[in-house]
Amino acid sequence: MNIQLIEDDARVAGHVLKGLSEAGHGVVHETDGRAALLRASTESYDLIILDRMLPSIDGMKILRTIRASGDATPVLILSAIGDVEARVAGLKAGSDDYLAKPFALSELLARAEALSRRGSSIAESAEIVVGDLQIDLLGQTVQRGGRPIDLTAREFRILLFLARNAGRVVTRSMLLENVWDYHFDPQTNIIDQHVSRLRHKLDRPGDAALIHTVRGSGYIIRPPA
Amino acid sequence: MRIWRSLSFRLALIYMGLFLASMLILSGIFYWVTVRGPLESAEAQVAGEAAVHEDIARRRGLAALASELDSRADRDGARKAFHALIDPAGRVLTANISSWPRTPAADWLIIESDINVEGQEIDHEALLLDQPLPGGARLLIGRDIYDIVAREKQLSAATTWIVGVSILLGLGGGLLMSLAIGRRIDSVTRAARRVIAGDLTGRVPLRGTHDDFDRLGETLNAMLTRIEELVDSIRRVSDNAAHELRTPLARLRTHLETLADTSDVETARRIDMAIAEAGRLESVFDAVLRITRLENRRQDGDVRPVDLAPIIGDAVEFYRPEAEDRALTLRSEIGSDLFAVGNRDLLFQAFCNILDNAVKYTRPGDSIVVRGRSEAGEAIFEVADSGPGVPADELPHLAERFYRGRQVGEKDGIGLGLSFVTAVMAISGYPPYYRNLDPGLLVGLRFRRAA
Repeated sequence: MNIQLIEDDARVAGHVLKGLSEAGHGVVHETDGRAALLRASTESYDLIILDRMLPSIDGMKILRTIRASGDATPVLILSAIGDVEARVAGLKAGSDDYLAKPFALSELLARAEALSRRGSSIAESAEIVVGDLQIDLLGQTVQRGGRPIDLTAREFRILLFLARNAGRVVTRSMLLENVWDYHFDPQTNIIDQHVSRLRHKLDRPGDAALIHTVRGSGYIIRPPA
Repeated sequence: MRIWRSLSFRLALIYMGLFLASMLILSGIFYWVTVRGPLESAEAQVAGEAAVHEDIARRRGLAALASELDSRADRDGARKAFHALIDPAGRVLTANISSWPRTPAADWLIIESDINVEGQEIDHEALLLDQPLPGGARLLIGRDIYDIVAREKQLSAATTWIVGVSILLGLGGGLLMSLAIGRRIDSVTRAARRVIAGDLTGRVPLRGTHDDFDRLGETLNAMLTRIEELVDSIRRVSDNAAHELRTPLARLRTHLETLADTSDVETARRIDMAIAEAGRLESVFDAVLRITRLENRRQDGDVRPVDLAPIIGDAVEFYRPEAEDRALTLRSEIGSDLFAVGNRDLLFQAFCNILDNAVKYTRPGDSIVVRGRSEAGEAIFEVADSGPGVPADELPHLAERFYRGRQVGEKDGIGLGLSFVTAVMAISGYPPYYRNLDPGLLVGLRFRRAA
């Protein structure tokens, strides 16, 4: 993946740069807002990681300029925690995701992966299928191998989010954001409890597991090999 | 009453008491010199005259005494002479006073004896001795002491006024003084309370007058600045350590993840454990940095009104599976009108941290009650459990970074949850409060009213 990182904090930038490169992504690093904007308008990237607070031009302004020029490159905003306005303002200005500092590198990687494929995702049909699992979006029902599975509203939303990102790692805070609509890094394993209940309902004895735990990162749903 | 406990007021009262006492002593001396002394010499003069005239009566008879008295009355003297001579039959032989007691008096008499001189009344006070004469006659003889009596009256009037006015001035001045000093002391107290409450930026306001209180304030402020610097440097150490260690830690994790692609199941399991441990470390560092960022944000006050009720409801729902797995009863009583200022994400995390502790540190079969209520317009969030509680001496330390109770033992946790809550509450309300319920612990949050 070809990523533009716009971040003036050397420590954060170094950390992210190293992590993304080690994960096999090509990263171009910019520290100045004006230079970054110039580059973003001439070159094409798969993803832009944008710090909100930048010298010379504010991150929000860069985002608005990019969007105004009709550029739909996914943008992930980095911002200080507790920056109440940042998340709302960022989403309004056309950002695709938002991550509060400090963040775990695995979190950023998972989100970057999810974003890079979002652009190419096909129009969603009324049904999502993962292996022998069928999710009916209109009727909000779930079947596995033809057997109906009774889920709570919350469990349904967890499953739906995992299934929409089938084959990609979904972190706990991504789940919390999209299923519970709260934005923070859960320091507890409480989400595991919700996921493990969902798993128990999906898997009958003898069934191959659908939802897998990715150590230190989160979960992934994929059809049994 | 508070004013009686004020040292400056009591000092003012003591000062007033001393002032009054010295005033009274001065008046006493003045009384002795200007009243008592002259009166005694007048008494001596009258007593002498009484003896002389008694002698005249005895030797020359009443008629001679009467004429002697009349000529004495006409003679000019330093003190005007007064007399009344009554014969044994009760007839007045001669008198220049208008009234006297009917029965003989044993002691000194002071009788008002105003005299009309050409239509003008002249004030006189006669100091009289009632002298019995041989044969049953009665002689009242005396001198004018009007000046002495007048002075005594002036003196007592002046003393009364001085005492009254100085009591009033003393009370009023003491009150004003203690109010003025009290205000200065209160500003010191307020600054100290702010620091105790966790706001290390609290300072004593200075007047710029370089008086005693300004000097005290300057010294205290210098001390507070020093404390703040020390606390800051401790924080910086943990922040820098967290910040600096994140990069190598992330690298370590990447290496481990590369290694994890091994066919050896046992090795893969161990590497997985190492990755999880690295993740745990990462989250500890992140938590430290998050709290620091929150604390640094405290001054901005950039917050908006939020309804706490749905956030509390979500937090309880979030923890229900965990509570059920641990065989705990989780109950919630959430009222309405629970508005506060803050950020819903941070508030949700704060509620979760408190619930997390309740779930983690109780035993199977225990119950947890979550309450959201409104008190005088201020929203209150409380989590009460029936668990083992926290020893009283540990309660004040709960919000300290990395503080873990003695009883917690090996349970997982890093001791940052309540530090985070405290940092959030610095934005949205007041410091968390903790109470032992016997059995159990209550953790409460009181929010500032949403404007």
